[in-house]
Amino acid sequence: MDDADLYSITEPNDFSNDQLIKLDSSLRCSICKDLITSPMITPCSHSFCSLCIRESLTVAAGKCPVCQTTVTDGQLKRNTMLSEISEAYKQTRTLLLRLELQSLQPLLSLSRKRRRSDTSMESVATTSKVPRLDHRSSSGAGSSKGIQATPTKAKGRTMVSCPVCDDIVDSEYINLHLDKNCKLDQEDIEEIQRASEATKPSNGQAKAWANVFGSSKKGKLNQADEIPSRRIPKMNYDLKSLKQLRDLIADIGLSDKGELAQLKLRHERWVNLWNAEVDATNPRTKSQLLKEMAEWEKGRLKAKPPPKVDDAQEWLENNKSQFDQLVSSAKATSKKHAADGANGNGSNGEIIEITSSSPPTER
Amino acid sequence: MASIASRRLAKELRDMQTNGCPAGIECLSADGDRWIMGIEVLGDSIYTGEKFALSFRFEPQYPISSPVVTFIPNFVLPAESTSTSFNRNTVYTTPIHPHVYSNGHICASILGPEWSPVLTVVSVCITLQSMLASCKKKERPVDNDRYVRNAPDNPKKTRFHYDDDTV
Ligand SMILES: [Zn+2]
Ligand SMILES: [Zn+2]
Ligand SMILES: [Zn+2]
Repeated sequence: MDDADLYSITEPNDFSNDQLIKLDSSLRCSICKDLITSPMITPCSHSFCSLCIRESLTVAAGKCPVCQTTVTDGQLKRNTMLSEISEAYKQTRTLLLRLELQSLQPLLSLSRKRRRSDTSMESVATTSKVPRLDHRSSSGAGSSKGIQATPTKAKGRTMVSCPVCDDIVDSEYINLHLDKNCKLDQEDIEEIQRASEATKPSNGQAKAWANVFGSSKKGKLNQADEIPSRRIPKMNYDLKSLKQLRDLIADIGLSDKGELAQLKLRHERWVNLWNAEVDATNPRTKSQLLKEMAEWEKGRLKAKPPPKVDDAQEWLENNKSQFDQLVSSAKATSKKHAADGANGNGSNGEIIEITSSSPPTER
Repeated sequence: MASIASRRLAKELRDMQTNGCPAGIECLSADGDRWIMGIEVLGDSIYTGEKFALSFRFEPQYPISSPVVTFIPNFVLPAESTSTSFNRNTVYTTPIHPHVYSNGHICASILGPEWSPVLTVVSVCITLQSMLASCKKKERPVDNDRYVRNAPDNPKKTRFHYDDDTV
């Protein structure tokens, strides 16, 4: 894992506002603790990333990780609305953080040339309020005005704050924003960007081009641009011979090296990865999935301590509810377990050594 | 893309750094897939004043697969540790408890079949802390000697019987 990955780690406490912390944590998957991706909902109404819950059900014999209700992967349903919300949130999160930071750092924002110095004081005073993206048209605005704010990167684009209304907008659109007397806000800009995105060649077209350029090669290579659209059914590995499994895996384009247990694990992972991609709004191509499989195979843990947490982030301590949650979830899973049938953790083909250790009950 | 395990661990570590650990729980070292946590039972208990070191080992499939968690017999604080609550010249040992073998292996269902990927390092520590807190009498498991003689290195390969609802 490189440093870039570590810096991309986010958590609810990046925010200081209670409600924003709550919003951020409610959009997280309780398995990976990341913002949810391709959410699936279980019959017990718990939502997880498609890949996370599929992996969990593969190992943990069909139990919901939160409430232990029996769940099979066939019962998972796409949580479309949550998916839309979380994707929109991911796009907005950086902006939200920045707005909050601005409202908390009066010196930083006041050092800039501000037209609305009176209203800005208001938002400084009430730090728990989320600043609104309100707009005032200004008569003196013109595209000749220089941009004074320090640009910040957000999701690959550069955001600047408008010298007239102090709004944060994409640097590419700042002139347009000024030309429109500050009436064009970031939301409008994103709409424009989405619209132009939509006119770009679609996946289908890209595939068609790939077919044209790749036509000299054999059929199998073109398959790499295949986009997962249909789920692969779960397989009963007991019914397959080693040779059959090896052929199947080689056919996919995966390494067919290793023993039966390894091949099974590799195929299970592939099925989960593929099926999770079917659930995704913008599925990746097969070649990207194969690349991810290669990463997974390397699978070595190289976790380094994350970067030092910034002082600016010691805003509020708001973790009590989180810890209470931890305690209760820990307690929920520590209920009585039947004395028999406990079968250790042998689901991934490990040998289980049986010892008849039966500690006495507390007295 | 980083493995799910290392991302998740980095998240947990960052969470501990930002928010701190619950009372009586401390991270003594976090080196890749091997962490050492310190725990202590607070309040009135038969373990008052004792501190224990827990070893966590994470497989690449963590948190889908449970961590390997054992108490460390004969633990000495590593030189680089910044812990202030653990003494540098003290040798810490395993708690005497009916679910803890003298080699450090723990018979706790959440480390086996009742593991759930929503659990974390801290929540495991909290559970073990309360397992110790609720104990009334210091004694080793009845089959301690027999078990320790034949125990596999990895306690996840042991088939424990969980017949007690305090764990
Ligand atoms: Zn997830
Ligand atoms: Zn559930
Ligand atoms: Zn403006």
